[in-house]
Amino acid sequence: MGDIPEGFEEFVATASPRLLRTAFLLTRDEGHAEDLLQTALARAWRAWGRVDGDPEPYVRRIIVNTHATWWRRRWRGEEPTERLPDRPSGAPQDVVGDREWLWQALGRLPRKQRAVLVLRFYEDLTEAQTAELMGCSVGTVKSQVSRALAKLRLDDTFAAEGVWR
Amino acid sequence: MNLSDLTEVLRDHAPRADAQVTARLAGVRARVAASRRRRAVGAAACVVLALVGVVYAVVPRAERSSEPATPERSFPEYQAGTRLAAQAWAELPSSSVVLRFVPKSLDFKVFVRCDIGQGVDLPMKLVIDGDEVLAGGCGTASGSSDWGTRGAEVGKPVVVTLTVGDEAVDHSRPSSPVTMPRPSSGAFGIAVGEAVPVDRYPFPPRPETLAEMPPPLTDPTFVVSADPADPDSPREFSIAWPGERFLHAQVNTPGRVRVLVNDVLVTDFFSWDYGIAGTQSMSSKDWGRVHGIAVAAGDPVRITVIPERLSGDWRVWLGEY
Repeated sequence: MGDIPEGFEEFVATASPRLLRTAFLLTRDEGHAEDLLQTALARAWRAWGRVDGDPEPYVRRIIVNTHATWWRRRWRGEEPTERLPDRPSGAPQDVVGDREWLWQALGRLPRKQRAVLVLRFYEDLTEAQTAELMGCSVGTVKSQVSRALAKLRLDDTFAAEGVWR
Repeated sequence: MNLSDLTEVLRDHAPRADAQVTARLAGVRARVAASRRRRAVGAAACVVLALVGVVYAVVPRAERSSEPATPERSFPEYQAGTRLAAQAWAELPSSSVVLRFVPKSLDFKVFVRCDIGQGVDLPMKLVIDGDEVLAGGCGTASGSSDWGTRGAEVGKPVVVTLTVGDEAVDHSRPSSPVTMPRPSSGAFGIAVGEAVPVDRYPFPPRPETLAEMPPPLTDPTFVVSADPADPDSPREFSIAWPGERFLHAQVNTPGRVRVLVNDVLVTDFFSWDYGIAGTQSMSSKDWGRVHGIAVAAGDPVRITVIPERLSGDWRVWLGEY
């Protein structure tokens, strides 16, 4: 096997903890997050010589796009006919319960919608940056954010079923 | 919930400590090495795959007619606004099931159900008249399409095929998923349901209490709610258009709600069960292209809400998201 590319080891040491957080928010499982991160880093290794500028956005893009196309490991929880869990019946000031519900509800979103929320509201990327990273238009990002937030807002079925195109 | 809650929840759950950098680098190194080994045997693998393809083609597959004789497993007679028209099931370890049916109209939905072990991910692929429409882990799904553009015709048989993979992954221990052969017990099925008009669809029994409508996530620009004395009465309002918005509709009982903007139908939403359900339109910036109506900030706009068979609460509003 060839030598490790120049600068790759330092990149893993400094950037991978941040990238792991993104991977975890997408996968919601420590094992899957590490698996996804290593998969992305291995792909970046092979393309290292072609990476121009800061490699972190490049690897983040691989993480997001790889996650979007992986076999859906918990498809039952992600398919569009399933209803989100009931909101806990606590008082309005039950902030902990609300946030736990929100975390669970995030896990039920389709992958692309979850990814767009992570990039917009955790990574704090702009709509244009999110669109570039996901390889789609700004309009698609806005639409995905809107749909994701609508689904979180509803506590329940957003779309009655999928539309196959 | 508001957007700052969302950001805080994401920050709260992102792992803080990460002491695995050395192990991670070793893992990446191993993956790169494995990838190179795989490429080295690629040519041989192609030959093997070709042989597997031949074997697959001659292995008998489960196939049933569109009207099976009282299957042990069954889809419900009514679901998602449709009435069951045909279904077919296969028992594992069979690898596929085929359903042929003759549509009486092109307003139908296709349903998939896999009854396999909890935490077991079995890849599946759904093909309708030669087009792959869905792929993923075998679970429960339903969908519809513009069948006419796919070549479907009333009176002409449609062939739906559900195929499952040879290998499954057991995720009962998420940190250490295990690859295993396709399970030998369980079943998977496909069904077709034909649309039933909302005025003839049998809704499920009404619960004693209806779900409470949650508040909108962001401050809405315009809200109209059901008249408690007559939830099915149409409502009409005129407003000055606030700028780019999404139109939302939400209900807590089954029924239909249509929303017209300047007499053009923008939202036509159905719910077939009790509980909170809803939809939101595309951005109003795209309405000109899709609906043929252009609305700009400040324009006088008439919004008409037409409920049908709604018996509880409903709400229509404009939001920035």
